[in-house]
Amino acid sequence: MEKKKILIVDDEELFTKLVKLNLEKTGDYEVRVENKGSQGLAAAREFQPDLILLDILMEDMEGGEVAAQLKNDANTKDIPVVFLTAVVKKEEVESGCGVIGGRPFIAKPVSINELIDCIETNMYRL
Amino acid sequence: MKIKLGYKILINILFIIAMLSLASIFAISYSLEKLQQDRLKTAEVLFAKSLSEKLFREVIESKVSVITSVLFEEKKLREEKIEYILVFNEKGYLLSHTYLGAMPREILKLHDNFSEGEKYRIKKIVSKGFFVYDIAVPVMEGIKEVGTLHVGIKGSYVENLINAAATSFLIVISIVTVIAVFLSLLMSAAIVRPVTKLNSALIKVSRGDLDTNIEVESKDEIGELGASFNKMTADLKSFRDNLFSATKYTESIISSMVDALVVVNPDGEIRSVNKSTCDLLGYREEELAGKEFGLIFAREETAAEIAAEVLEQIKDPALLISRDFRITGINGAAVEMLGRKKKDVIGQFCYKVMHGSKDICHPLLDKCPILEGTQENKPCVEMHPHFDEKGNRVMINAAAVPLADSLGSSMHYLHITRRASNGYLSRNGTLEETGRLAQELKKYARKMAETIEQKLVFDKTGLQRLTELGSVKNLEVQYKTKNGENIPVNFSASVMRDNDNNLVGVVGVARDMRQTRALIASLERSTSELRDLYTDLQNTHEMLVQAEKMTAVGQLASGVAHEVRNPLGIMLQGVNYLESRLSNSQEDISETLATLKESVRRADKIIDGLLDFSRFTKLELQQEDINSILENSLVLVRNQFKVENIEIIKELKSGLPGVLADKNKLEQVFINVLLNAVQAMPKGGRITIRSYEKKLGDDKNDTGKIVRDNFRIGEQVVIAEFEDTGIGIPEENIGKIFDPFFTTKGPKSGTGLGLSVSRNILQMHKGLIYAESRYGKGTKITVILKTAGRG
Repeated sequence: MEKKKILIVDDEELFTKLVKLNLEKTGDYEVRVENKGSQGLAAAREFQPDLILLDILMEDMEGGEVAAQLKNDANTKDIPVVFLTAVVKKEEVESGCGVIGGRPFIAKPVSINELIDCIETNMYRL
Repeated sequence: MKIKLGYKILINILFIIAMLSLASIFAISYSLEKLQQDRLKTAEVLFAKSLSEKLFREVIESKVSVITSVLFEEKKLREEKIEYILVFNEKGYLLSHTYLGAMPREILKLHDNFSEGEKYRIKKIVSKGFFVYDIAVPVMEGIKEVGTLHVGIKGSYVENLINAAATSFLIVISIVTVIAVFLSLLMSAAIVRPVTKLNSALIKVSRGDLDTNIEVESKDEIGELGASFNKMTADLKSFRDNLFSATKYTESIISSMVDALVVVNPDGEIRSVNKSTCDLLGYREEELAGKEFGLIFAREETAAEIAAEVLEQIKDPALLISRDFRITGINGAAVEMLGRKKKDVIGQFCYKVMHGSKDICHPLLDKCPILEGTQENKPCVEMHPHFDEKGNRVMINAAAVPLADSLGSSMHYLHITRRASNGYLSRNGTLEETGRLAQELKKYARKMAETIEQKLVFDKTGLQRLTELGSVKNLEVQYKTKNGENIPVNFSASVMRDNDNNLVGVVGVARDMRQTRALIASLERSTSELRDLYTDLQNTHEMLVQAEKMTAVGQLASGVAHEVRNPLGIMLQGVNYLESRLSNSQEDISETLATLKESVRRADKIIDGLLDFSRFTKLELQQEDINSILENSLVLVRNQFKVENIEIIKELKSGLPGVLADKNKLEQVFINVLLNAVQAMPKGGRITIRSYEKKLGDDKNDTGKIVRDNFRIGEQVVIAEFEDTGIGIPEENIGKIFDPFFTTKGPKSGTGLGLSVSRNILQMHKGLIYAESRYGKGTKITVILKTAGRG
């Protein structure tokens, strides 16, 4: 089975590194990491991932802005995006993976199993 | 008989004149006769003498013929007055005479010798048809008497002379008398006229015509009298005018007075009223005059009712006590203090009710202010130790004021008690302070006693009381109009006495208080509106402050969440990675990693709570039954109560009205409160959970008077209460327990946000949560909710 391509855009380097390690260890995912919003945009066009994990609060560019630009680009508009955030209540995002305002969210901190569940849930959603 | 002054004077003057005339007539007639004799002496004696000298030789020689012719000659010359001439010789023989016929016999007896030196002799001879004055002279030769010569002067001649003189004199006197009478008439008129004038003027004056004036014509005493009279009437007039205008002035003051005036005589009858009184009461003045004073008062109350009314105005426990120490009146505060029913206390001996003593002479009562007061008949205040409703020993000031005797023996003392200090009397309560409080109480008691005395002026024996008091000031009483309408007035009255201290009457003044009352009422309305506005403003302000706080806390929470959760995320991922690398034999590491994950979760939960607190989540309001919410909450925490050995007592009232609430949020609040209670009772205890409904505003410290809350007095609410027997909250902390992050439980036990969140939830429900606590005894949390109608 072909590996799924995941792009993680988050300015927490250590977090992205550990998630990449954990995901790739399963053998099911090919993971690319970007620590800046702008670079995330470029990477998305170039890497053409099956799903993007996008942090909302980043220093150079907000996750919402990145998502909007992805939506505006014909090359990236169909790629599913799951937001990562620390500023939601757990109750609002069921078991670390939920929907707020029609958009999928993962609430930090999240265990790897919850993360994988969430990726799999949203992978084929359009 | 009344004779006019004028006649009196006239009669007197006439009498005097008559007397004078008579006297003068007598005097004059006497002197006329004398005058005539003198004249006879001089003229006729001289004639006789010269005749005798002429004839002495013829007499000596007795030449009778010669003598006779001479005599006839002489007689002829004086025929009209001479009756006869006779000559006697020295021997007394009639030598010659002038009679032709028979001569009267009296003539012959005329001869008489003269004594030596005697010049003449006059003799009045009166007989029948014969009346003469006989003049006799001696005929002398040298010094020798040779004979005598007699000349008879006709009496009629002499009489005629006198009569003529007398007649003319009488005429004169008559004329004088007439003139005198006339003058006296004029004089009496002159005297009498001013007197008459004065008299008629006086009559006029006495009839009140003070414009009478007398023309002063003369400058004599009568004139002075007239002037004095004029001055007197002028003075009298000006005095009367002054008096009149002063009376007028007073009358106009009284009639134009805004206040209603009433004057009462000592018999209690209305003597006069002014226009304001008439206008106020709708009576005419003559309808009120002579009526009983009480007519204008609306006094249906008996003395006891009035006294009870005043008694209720006293906030402190107060009693009315009779002369024989029975309780005759008691107010609500005293009933509360004694904890007995009013009807069980009235009529009982005060010492028995207050102290359980059988006798007033009991040694326990040596501090009885009534006994002290009786001895000196003056207000007295004493301190008693006393136990309050919670069984604490406190000092009580008790004051007793003797009331006026006229209130009767059933109202003899006013007895008021008050705590000697605001809190419990401690060692720091100084003597000065308690002394001051005692004096304050005494003053207050005296003032209230006066109020009772003054108010009671208006029962049946009111006037007598007023007489005793001398005056009453600014009493709030009611007038009764002719139509029976009651008008609130501010009444003052004082007793009028004359110089001898006799009661003259009572003058009372009343001011219509309707406008003032209306003004006060509208002022009160405005005040309450203002208070409501202020409350709203305060609420808005509080909400704004709260919102601002929330915003700030929200921002903080977001920041903290971001900053803390990212590292937590890293840690969790790291732990996950390490777990994936572990072999089965490394259990100790696996356990450590599990602990690590749990720690991450706990930290995460704190962030959750923080976020929860900062969010304004919308409530899902539905009509709920508070009892079922309480039950649900209890189910969730019941195990913990069991573990901590806490007894649950439920006093839930059934059939309560529903509340409009978010069931889940309210459960969250109740669970929070219950868990706090568990934590407050580490050694076990008891929690009482109550639910009931009530109308706000019944008691003093009730919700509805607190500015901040969402309720109004009189609102029907549902209340949930949680009362524990835990450690309680120190007084200094009670205001802080609803603040965010305030906790006494230490960092491991909670977030410090529970009660803060609870308060927010209640605020969103437009409800209220508050705490009461006594440190060391326990805490009571009260939750008040608006009703949603009976469900």
